[in-house]
Amino acid sequence: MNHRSPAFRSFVRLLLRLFPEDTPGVTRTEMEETFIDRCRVDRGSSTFFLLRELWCLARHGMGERLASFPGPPPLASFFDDIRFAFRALLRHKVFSLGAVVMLGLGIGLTTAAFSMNTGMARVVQRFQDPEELVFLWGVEEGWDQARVSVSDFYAWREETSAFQEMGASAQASRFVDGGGDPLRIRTARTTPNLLPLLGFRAEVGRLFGGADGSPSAPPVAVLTWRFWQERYAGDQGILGSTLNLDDTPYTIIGVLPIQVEFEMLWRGTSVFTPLVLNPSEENWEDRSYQVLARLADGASVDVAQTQLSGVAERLAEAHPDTNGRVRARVERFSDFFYSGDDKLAMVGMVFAVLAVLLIACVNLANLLLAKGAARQGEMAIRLAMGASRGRMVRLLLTESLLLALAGGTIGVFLGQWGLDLLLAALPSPPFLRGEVGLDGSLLTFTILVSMASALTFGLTPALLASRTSLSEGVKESSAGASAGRSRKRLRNVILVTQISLTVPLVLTCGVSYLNLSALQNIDFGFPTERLLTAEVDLPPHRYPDDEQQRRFYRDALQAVTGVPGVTSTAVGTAVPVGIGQGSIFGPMAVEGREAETGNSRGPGGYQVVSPEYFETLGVPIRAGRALSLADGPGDPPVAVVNEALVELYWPDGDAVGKRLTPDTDQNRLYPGFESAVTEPVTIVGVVADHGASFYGEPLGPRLYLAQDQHPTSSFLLVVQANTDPLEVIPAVREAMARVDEGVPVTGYRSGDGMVDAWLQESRSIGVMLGIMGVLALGMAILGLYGMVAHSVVQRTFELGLRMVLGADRAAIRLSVMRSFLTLSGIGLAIGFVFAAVFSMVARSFLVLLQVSYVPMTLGVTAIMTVVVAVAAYVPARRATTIEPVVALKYE
Amino acid sequence: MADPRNPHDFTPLRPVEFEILLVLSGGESHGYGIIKEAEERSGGRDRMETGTLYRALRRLTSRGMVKPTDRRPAPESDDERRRYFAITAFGRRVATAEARRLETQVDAARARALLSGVDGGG
Repeated sequence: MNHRSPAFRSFVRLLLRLFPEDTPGVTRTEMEETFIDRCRVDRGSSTFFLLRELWCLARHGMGERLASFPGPPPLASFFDDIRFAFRALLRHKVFSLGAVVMLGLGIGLTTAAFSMNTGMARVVQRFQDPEELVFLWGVEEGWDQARVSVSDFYAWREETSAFQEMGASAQASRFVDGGGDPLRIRTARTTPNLLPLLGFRAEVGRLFGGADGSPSAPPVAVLTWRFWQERYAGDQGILGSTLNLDDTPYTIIGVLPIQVEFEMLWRGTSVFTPLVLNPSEENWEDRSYQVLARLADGASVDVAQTQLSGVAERLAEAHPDTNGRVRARVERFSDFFYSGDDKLAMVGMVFAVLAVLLIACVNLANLLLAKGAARQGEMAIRLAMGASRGRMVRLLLTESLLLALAGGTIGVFLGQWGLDLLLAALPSPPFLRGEVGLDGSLLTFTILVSMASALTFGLTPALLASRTSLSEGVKESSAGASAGRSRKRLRNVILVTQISLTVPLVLTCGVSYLNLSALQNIDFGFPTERLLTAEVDLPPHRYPDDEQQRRFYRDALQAVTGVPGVTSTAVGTAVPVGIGQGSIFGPMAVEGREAETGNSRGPGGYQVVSPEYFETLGVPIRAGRALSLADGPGDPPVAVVNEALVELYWPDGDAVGKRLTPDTDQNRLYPGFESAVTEPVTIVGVVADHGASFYGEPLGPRLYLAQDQHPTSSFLLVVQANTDPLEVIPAVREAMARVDEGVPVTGYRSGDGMVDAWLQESRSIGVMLGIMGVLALGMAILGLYGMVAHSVVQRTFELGLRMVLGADRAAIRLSVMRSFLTLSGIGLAIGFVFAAVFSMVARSFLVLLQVSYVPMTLGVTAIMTVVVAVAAYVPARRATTIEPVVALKYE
Repeated sequence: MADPRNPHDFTPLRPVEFEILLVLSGGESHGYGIIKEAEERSGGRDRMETGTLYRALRRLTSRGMVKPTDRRPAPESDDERRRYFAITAFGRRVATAEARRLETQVDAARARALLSGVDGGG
């Protein structure tokens, strides 16, 4: 519990509202300040202290509020109820604590999951009238979010009427100079109407106007808030100053507001420039534009789709070379930001969490039922003494409501905590943090859930208790007969429900947890402990041609290799840990199998690396040779491949010496590939498979091209040290500066640091699932044991009677155990069906490695069975070992 | 102008109320200050929760024994939102009456040797 969090403050404020504002001078503001001071200065970190303070606030506030009602206290009996209920709850401390904790956990988890859900759905609301906003995508060969050419955009804009406005953007990575250190950033060119179309206004200065899009307009730029803060420290005076992008000067005209984070729209974009529109210049080739539009008044997505499809068909006929296979698709904004997969994941999460809540409620119901049964005698006596039934139901309800309120209060804090955990765990973009929070409506929701559960499960035993006739109640209780028929049936249902809910939850959480922990031990195929990487970006205006780029990296390697503590150095476009570790290449024509089509020819990933790369990383060569300095710009193009690629293309043959030819027609679909591989490459060597993808799977087919033959302006410096890699950073930095001070070298990371960052996410998810599974299992064990044991104890009289009638003791014990084991068997069976369904849903959003369900299933079955058996056996043994006469006297 | 009410009608005070009057009779203070001083006096043994304090403060204020003041002694070091409380003349009389009442009890305790020798177990 954190008393510094805004949620805590709002909660305190809420509690303070209990105090009526009628005494002049004693204001809530003052109280709040004092309260916060108190929490901050004194033992602020102790949860117990905070709870005590909160409790006192609630109690006195409630007292004052009630006392403030005019006239003689009409609520005296209500007060009595509360006092009574309190006393009753305090008398059964273990019961009360159990019930409150159970409810708190259930409610907390549910609230967290629901908050996350609504928060994610709300992200889209940051745009103006988001329901009118749509993406217009190209659809090509199974890829339904393809970018289109600028000429497609013009045609779409001219030939449709369903859109009131249409804008396009294209992203590019550019080199920025001026106003700070040189740096490579992401930029986006947008049509001038695009930002206003989405509803964005400038925080400072202005956004683009129509004139900025004309070919003759002076170049201008708009910064994102983040870039403005990071590079210019939020200086208002930058308007009108110059920013060099790839050595072209742009005048800064405005800054976007902080709410506009483009994580999902234009990932990581720092600077916007206008997209120059010139419809007369046709370009159907460069398909790098993303199109957004606002639907016209009254136009539906269906109408828009029909119009757009019509245009796309016409274009396909008119330009068969470029558009022959291109169709068009309209996608709602809300579907893009909160996709079907996301929804499914959230639904899965919500279901899992609801199951926990249900288990909690079932346990509570169980506790209340057991207590209701135990108190039946008390109730009967009260009734006999003249208490009205209504009053008694009220009393019981007050008890449950108090429990629910306490549980709800704990739930709020657990919910906030769970939400923080969720946000940290899910691959959520930072802006989500601003959208997700425990808000007022959720608080209401929480309280309603707790009330509802209390009413439902408090009412059942209350009604059961008050409905029994006087004589029956006294008789049942004092004679200790077996529980009433209806109660017994209810208990059976609860037992089966509980087991059938727990099994799928524990199984799914457990298996996912095992999966994720298996991920932590993944073998990358190379040692990461002494590895160091850094990102190098060559400013294009200083290194415009391949030869200069080549010379820089050779000089850099020489300089860094001389650093004490460094044993080997290489460069490459990626290091295979986590995502973003290579580019995609398209299908290849394989030597010897030219006629084949389809997936057997790729695609796969490629990296461009220097000759020293494999040695530096510590990856063994399996066949042929590594790349060498002899593979220069003028020499025949060569490549090294990994074993997975050999397995794919030449499953039973030698790959060395074979040639791969890019299928240029297909490669249009894989942007970036064309630039790197345009001519056939000859395979000179095979390296061991190494690296792991995002989910810890092997990387699959991979091609390693020579840096000298495919120079790149940005690459990773890869350093193998013979000491702690973080220690050599200053010397490496110095060495790089000696080669050229004007080249930014950023993002120094140790190999272990990379692995850690990559695993962070799955680790938090694992912890969360683990906690949930353990909670569910723990609650179920406690609940099951308590319920079974309790109902056997209640049957002591009956068992005694059987013994008196001559039944064998062992047979009695066996029959008691058999009846409960049958019930748990039914529960388990239903549970496994649920688990099977659940695992199918879970597969869509959880990473499932090859961890088997079998041991976990056997384990859960064993645990449940043993718990039920022991819970039935122990009291049954006790009941059957005492003298039958004593058992008959049992109450 | 003297308060016509009889202070003895208001004794015995609740311990927390007497504590507040005790603190305020030494000078004005704000809520957090009252809590701190009271806790320090008892050596940290007796805790005073914020809720308890304010319920008592409301009662004392509505009975005219304590009044909120507008004075803020050190503006530069002081939080604008803070409010100071002062004891009223009537409050002082009630506190005196309560102190006398306690004094007679303490005297009796002393006469029965309750206060001599070892601490009564704390």
